[in-house]
Amino acid sequence: MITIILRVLIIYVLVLFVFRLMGKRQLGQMQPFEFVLTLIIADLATIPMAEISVPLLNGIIPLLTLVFFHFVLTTLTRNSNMFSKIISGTPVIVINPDGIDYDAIKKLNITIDDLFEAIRSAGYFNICDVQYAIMETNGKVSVMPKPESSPVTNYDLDIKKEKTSLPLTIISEGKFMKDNLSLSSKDKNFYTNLLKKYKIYSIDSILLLTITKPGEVFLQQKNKPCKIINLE
Amino acid sequence: MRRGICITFIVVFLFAVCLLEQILVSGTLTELKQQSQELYEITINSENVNSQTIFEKTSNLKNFWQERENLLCFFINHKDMQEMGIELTKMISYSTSNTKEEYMNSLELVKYYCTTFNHIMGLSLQNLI
Repeated sequence: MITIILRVLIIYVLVLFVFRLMGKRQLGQMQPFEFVLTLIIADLATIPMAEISVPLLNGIIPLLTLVFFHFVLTTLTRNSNMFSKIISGTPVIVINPDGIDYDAIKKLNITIDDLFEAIRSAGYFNICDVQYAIMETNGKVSVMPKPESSPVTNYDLDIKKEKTSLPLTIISEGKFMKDNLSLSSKDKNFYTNLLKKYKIYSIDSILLLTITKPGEVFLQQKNKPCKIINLE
Repeated sequence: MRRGICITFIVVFLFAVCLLEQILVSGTLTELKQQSQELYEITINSENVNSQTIFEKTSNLKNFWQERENLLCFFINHKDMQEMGIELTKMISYSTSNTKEEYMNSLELVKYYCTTFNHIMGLSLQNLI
């Protein structure tokens, strides 16, 4: 049993390493060859886990071979348009200003129902609102709405807003995030003094504290409501 | 850059493992075949199989296989290698009890396994397809 436990741990760490090496794309929206890879990895990992007579190398070698092959494929698709088209295909316009491209959906082997489902997932329930719909290589549909149906922006209303920045997480679950602390151009004392103003004397009680450049602070203690503080 | 280093390491590791396995498998099976052939030539011409020479050679053969089996276990399924060990153990027993016919049968099987194990353990078309 101890052997099985150790084998499981080794294979688990290896699979984790394999997915990290393959990059974040693997965990997000997958291309067909990446999807195939994920399925195979799942099966390969289980082979030596429970069967003690199978050498551990029988699981490790195929996994590493797939990692290498994936690296080769992604390098080729990145550097060659032709190879990228062969492996991943090309995006296909399924709806254009003339309507649904019947030849395109036949080539993609999808039905009208599939198309409507994809458009609804993109947030558009009326096909009349859609100017272009593109079936991407990962199977998702991207929709460009008609100008009259597109969401209104501040620019359309001529509303000028201040520039903002990405919020920085300064304290998370009672600990200072050191990298973000230096990015915020403020030190720990600043934040501890800020917390003292709100009668918080220990950062251990802080669930989350974030700051944006104009000086907006989100502060929440554990099991307490949040506070939004404007520093200016 | 880091990914490139990892990939390079993986390629080197894969190559090293494949090379090591091939050297170990072919080396072991070749040596085993040679030793069993020598043993065959000695035993075919002798009336008894319980002589000191034959017993020692059989023990050496079995010890050789056991040592190599420990290394081969890293690469080959244990169940695929069991039969060789079983036959060699039987040979020791047959030698002790001087049952020449069974001894020769086992020795023939060992020689046969030396040839066919290449299909299971080594690089071959049969393995690939």
